[in-house]
Amino acid sequence: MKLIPEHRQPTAWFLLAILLTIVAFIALSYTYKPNDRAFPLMVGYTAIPIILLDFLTLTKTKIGQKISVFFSAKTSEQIDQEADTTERGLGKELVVFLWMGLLVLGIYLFGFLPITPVFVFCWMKYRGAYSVRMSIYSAVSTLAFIYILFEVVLQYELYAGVLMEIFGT
Amino acid sequence: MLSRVITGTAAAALAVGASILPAQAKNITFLIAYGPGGGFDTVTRKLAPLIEKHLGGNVNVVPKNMPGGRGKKAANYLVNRKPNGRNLLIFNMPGHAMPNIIGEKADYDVRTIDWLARAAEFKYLIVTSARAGKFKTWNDVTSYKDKIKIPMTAPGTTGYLATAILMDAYGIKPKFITGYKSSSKYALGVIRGDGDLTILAKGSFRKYITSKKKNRQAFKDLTPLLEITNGPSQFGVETTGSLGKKELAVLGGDRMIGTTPGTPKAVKDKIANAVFKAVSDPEFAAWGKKVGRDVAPLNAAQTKAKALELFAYYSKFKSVLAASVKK
Amino acid sequence: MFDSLIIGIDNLFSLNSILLLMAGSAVGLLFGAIPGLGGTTAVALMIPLTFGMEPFQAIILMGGIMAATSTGGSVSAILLNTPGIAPNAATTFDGYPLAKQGKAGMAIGAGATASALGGVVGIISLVAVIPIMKEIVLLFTPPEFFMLAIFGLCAIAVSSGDRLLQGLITAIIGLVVGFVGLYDITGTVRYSMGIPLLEDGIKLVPALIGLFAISEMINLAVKGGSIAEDTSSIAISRVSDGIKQVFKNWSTMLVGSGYGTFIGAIPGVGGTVAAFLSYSTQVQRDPDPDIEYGKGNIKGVIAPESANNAKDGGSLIPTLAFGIPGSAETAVFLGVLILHGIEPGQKLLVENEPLVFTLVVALTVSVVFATLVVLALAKYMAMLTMVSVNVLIPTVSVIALVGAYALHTEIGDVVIALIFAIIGYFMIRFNYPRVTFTIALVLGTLTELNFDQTMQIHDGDMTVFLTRWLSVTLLILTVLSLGFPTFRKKVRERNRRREAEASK
Repeated sequence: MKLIPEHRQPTAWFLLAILLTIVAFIALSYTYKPNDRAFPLMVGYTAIPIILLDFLTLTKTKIGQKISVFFSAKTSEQIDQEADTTERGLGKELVVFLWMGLLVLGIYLFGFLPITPVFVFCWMKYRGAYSVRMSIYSAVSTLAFIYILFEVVLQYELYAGVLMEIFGT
Repeated sequence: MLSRVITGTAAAALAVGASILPAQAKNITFLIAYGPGGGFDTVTRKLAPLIEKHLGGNVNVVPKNMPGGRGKKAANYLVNRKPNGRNLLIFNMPGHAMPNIIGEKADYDVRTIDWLARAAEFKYLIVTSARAGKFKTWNDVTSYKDKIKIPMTAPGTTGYLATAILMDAYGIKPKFITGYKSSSKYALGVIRGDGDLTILAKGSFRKYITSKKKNRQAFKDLTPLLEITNGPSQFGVETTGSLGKKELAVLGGDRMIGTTPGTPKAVKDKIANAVFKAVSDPEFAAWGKKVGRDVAPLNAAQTKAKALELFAYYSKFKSVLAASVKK
Repeated sequence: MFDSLIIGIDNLFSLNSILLLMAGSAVGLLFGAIPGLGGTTAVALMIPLTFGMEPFQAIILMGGIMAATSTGGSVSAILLNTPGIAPNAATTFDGYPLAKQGKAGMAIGAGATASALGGVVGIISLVAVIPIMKEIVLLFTPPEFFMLAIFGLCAIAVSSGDRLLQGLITAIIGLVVGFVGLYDITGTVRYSMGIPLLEDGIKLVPALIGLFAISEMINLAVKGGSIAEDTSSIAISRVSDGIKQVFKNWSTMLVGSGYGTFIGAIPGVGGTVAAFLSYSTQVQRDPDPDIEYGKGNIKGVIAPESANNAKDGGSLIPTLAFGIPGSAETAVFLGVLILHGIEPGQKLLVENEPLVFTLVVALTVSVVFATLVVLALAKYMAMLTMVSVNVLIPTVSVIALVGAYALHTEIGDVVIALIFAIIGYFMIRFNYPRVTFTIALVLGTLTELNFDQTMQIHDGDMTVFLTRWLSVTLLILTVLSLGFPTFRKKVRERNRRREAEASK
């Protein structure tokens, strides 16, 4: 990891995750019959050198720079300069993932209709620092949009939550 | 600001949507085990209003697509509902029976479904391409034997199984070219010369060759070789019956309507009555004739007997079926 | 064919249809103008709306959306230096400098007019190709489809531009995801890990909703602020000047439209490449410009805008004829067609000609309609990009998740959308192209299936790919398309050299 400059290390971890996924994919492929695995295996084994090449472009090494120029006509420094430089803390990202995860969990447990206004309200109030009135206004409009569009107009039975399936009628 | 935009979009969308769809209350869900647009989808959507009509009162029958696991998902869903007759499903027989026969995991058992009626059936026909001209008669096929290539849907599908059973009866070991998504796709495959022959429902074949649409011209290259029936041939070709394979006449498909097992008798009888009236409705028969589906109404008791008969028949070919799925 | 055209026109001219078309154009403009949303999201989100519609109505709505997005996207590209959708990126080069010079009105007028004309040229090309397509239908057998799919996959590499290596990696992930589920050749369920939901494969629409819409929301949440960072100077003036400029520079418009149609027709390349190519060609064709390119030359707006709208017609050629989407947007559109029981590919043109012409008419009317709306409302549309993310994120996320669920009424699809949202977010964060992922997802199984079918039909004889003329032709095109990045690099270098000489 020392070869990779610090600002590129998150990318390296992302790439490593992809590499591990591909390795798992290759391993899983061997549980299928030859006809079923031939093509997936070809794809899997092609992926590995490509990922390794990409790893090299992240390094400061000469060979890495050469690969980068070969594939994109740019050195990795030039790419760094053009990249989006927004500060993205892992903590900040995890918090957003958590919000989205909770939204999906909420939908799973209680269904779309109760969770929609709660989520919109909470997000606007606590992440956006909007007034209670404004937040309620948006929450209710979104709920109305979804309810009228899906339940009334499209005759859709929106998911009512796993709790309703267990305890409801 | 955005909420205003969304509300505006919603209003526009609603205005459009509302003008297209009438509001309905939900009473009975008529499940469709496959996606929109297919044969089961159209039959279900045609039947739903007819069942409504014969049920009377304020009951609405709402079709709902639930594709997945080759129809297994909808059948599993059906048997896991409360037995109150609020959910109906058109089963694809023998397709839906296959997991039960070869011992694949499924929550349902076609032998215990509360059967209501049969809507339609179809029987098969073996076709080849007139352009290729390799085979003139079925006899040519049997003498050609093991070099025959058959474009087909995936192993385990109804068409594949029927073909496998038929070929097995004639001692032919064909090479299947699988992966076609539908029967019209593999029929096109035969026309293009991907393979030698294939199996088609008689209704679809008739629709292809009699279609006045210029667009269907390509399908006119198809020519029948062998008809699966014990009666006389409608197409002037040899039949399995005339060639002494009377037991093959069962091969085909049945579209049978069932509901959750354990439905109280009074409820079940009421719905079965309405469903049977719907499938016997002249409007349904006329529609079937127009679109090339053989409407073949059976009542609840007959349908149950038919389901058990089909189960017993296909169980005899367990080894052929299991082999075709495992291949 | 004229019968079908008349049915198409007839389908469109009823109150419902016109309302649908206008709703579609409005949604398309809106989603095009808001960076990060785009046509793919718009089409995906509107899918549930089409349930219960007649197929032709669904097609009108979707046609309206697709034709309008790049027109909408040009507005934010010009006013805010932010391309509404990727194909508008090249428009920013000269559009934004024009806006800064107070000539935003002219730029928007020219952009919208070029969009309309380019769009019409693309559609005319589509119509011109339809009658021939019927004849070709039977020519395409599994070996040809395999080669076509490979061609599409290789074009992906071209379209990922500077991020070739990364585009290949995401394409491979797309292929891997595509392998999940029932394989039609063998009837085996693969890579489902025992999860029933995955037995039928990972469905395209929930995956795309996650990958494009929700991931963008996560990205905005992490970045904060409002979408458009610089919201000053959005005054509109002299729209009519812009319209005149397009007619004055008609050859620029025509060349751009040609690029758009041709490149749009190659599966997997799409409008972004077409627009960039059109722009770079324009720069090359005009060695002695009155105003330097990149500093507010109106031709630098006309060239990419005519190309990125012409590609709509072009990219529908492979979509309709072969069921191979020309772009992510048409991939979702493909889903809509299938949903309505219209099987795209060989059979569509043969059996549903009136529907195809309904689409053609809808696209034509919509592209013109969208332009008129832009000309009238450009100012207000641009203000939308100032909406605070903290209003946008919760509302769009929830509606997107309902969309993911509604398609199959399958709660598991909501989880799929979330997973792909996170994957998509990392792709944005680390600058890995998402479009290549999408197209690989669609083309992957097609490639495998047609290869296996070819082997079954021809008893494992690989030479069949080299003995059929159409298959060989496609192979040659594939090789040529792979050589394309080198060509583009050369062009760029030459331009750079010229610029350097000019500044001396």
